[in-house]
Amino acid sequence: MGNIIETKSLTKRFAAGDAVCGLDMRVPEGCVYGFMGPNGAGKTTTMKMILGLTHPTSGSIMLMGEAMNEKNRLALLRRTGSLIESPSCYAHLTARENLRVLADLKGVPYRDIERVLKIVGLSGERTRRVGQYSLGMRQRLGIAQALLGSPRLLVLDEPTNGLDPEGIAEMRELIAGIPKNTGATVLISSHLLSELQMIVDYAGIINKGHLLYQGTLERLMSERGGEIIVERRARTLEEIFMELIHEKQGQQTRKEGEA
Amino acid sequence: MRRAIAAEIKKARRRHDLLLAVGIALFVVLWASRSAPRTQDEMATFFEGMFYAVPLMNTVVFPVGMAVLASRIWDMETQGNGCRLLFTLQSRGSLLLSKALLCTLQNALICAAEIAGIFLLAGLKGVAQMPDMRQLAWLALCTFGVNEMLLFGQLLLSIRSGTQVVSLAVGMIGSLLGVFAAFLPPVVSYLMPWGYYVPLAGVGMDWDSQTRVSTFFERDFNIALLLFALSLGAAFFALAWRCVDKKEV
Repeated sequence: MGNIIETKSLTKRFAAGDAVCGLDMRVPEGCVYGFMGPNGAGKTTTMKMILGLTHPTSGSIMLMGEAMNEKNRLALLRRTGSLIESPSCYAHLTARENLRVLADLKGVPYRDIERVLKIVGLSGERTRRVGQYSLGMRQRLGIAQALLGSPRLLVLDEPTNGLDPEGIAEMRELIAGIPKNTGATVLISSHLLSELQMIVDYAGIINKGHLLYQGTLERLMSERGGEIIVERRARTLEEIFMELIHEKQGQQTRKEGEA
Repeated sequence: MRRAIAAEIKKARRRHDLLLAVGIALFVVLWASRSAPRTQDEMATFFEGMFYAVPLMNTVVFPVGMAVLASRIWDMETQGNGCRLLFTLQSRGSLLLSKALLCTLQNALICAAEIAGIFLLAGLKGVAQMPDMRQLAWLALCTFGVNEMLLFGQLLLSIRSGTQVVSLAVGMIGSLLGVFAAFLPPVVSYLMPWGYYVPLAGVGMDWDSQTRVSTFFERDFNIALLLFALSLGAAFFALAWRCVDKKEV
């Protein structure tokens, strides 16, 4: 199984400091890859660089086996669906009209709109203006936009933001089923580690722009004393995550102290 | 590019931008008609009167009108976080170009509505003679050129500031400065791009305070100023292009 995303020494430097430092990320095709990290760790910046929304300071990105450059960027991204932070939609248009705008740009037939609306459970609300939607409904529309045209890769940054517990559970099922049902790969970030734990196959943990762990969730859990199938109480992903973050922070503080 | 334009037209649905454009133009004509000749004797100079009054009213209304139209067209992307998705589906240049084309379409509609409004008013007032077609064409051309320059300037401001408020404030201040400059020597009015409608007008007016009679006279067409206005518009567009290209969302 090849990697659908591969970054090499990907770096983004802002005036305030490095947001992402020499990131070597590998997302295997056909999996759900959970991208985790505390606030300001560099998750969104990395996802934005993968989508060409932010220019990397240095490093390279391979997408679907091709080195992404200005010439092939759009062709590669048209096979990608994305939802970054909050959905992009026009409040004066209905859900269907919003999706038609995207269908035109992606070159996708309009019949696909009904399919994605059905998947996210917005079929009954498709003729209502998005301005009248709740936050959760907008989030679903964002997922529908990402799914339009059956992309090979989905990049979802905090897709469960604004959803109620029932919505989160539905979204979890939806995302977990994507690789099996469509063959697409999902790169997802979320603060809800317990939710991620239930759906991801691979995990990447980032803090202060550095990748602390990358590999299967199974390996992470077994290496750190967690168990996926438990009879007695196992350590949760959340506990392992906190330990990993604090461990690295402690090492860094010690290094700074020594220096 | 065809896809980008189709998408832009779809986004414009229910926003009534074209109606707004026509409304702005007709408002100018109606306002200008207040100072148009009224008596039967004055009707002989109806069109000259309009060619003089319309550029003045354009100076008052259009800087704000262009700010409204240009900022609305970009603000929908700001409000809806549109760029985050659109930049993954279309080139940044095609997004700006399709918006600029829509602005140009609105501008063309404004100019057409303004000319149609002048003819409509002449018909309603029973003006028998035809206007000087050269003057009519010059008025339409200058209005289009200055509007285009203002539209691109306001588009640039909207992209840079990310809020409609800045564009509208600049439009309003520009309108005041333009009107102020219209009554000052030409050298001063050249410094106020918002008021270029007046120094570009093909008809001037002398008003005799003793007899209280206005006399209209033809002025040379200021082609150099029109070319400068168009160049300024092109420069604003180039800056907007660069700004969108470098934009990180």
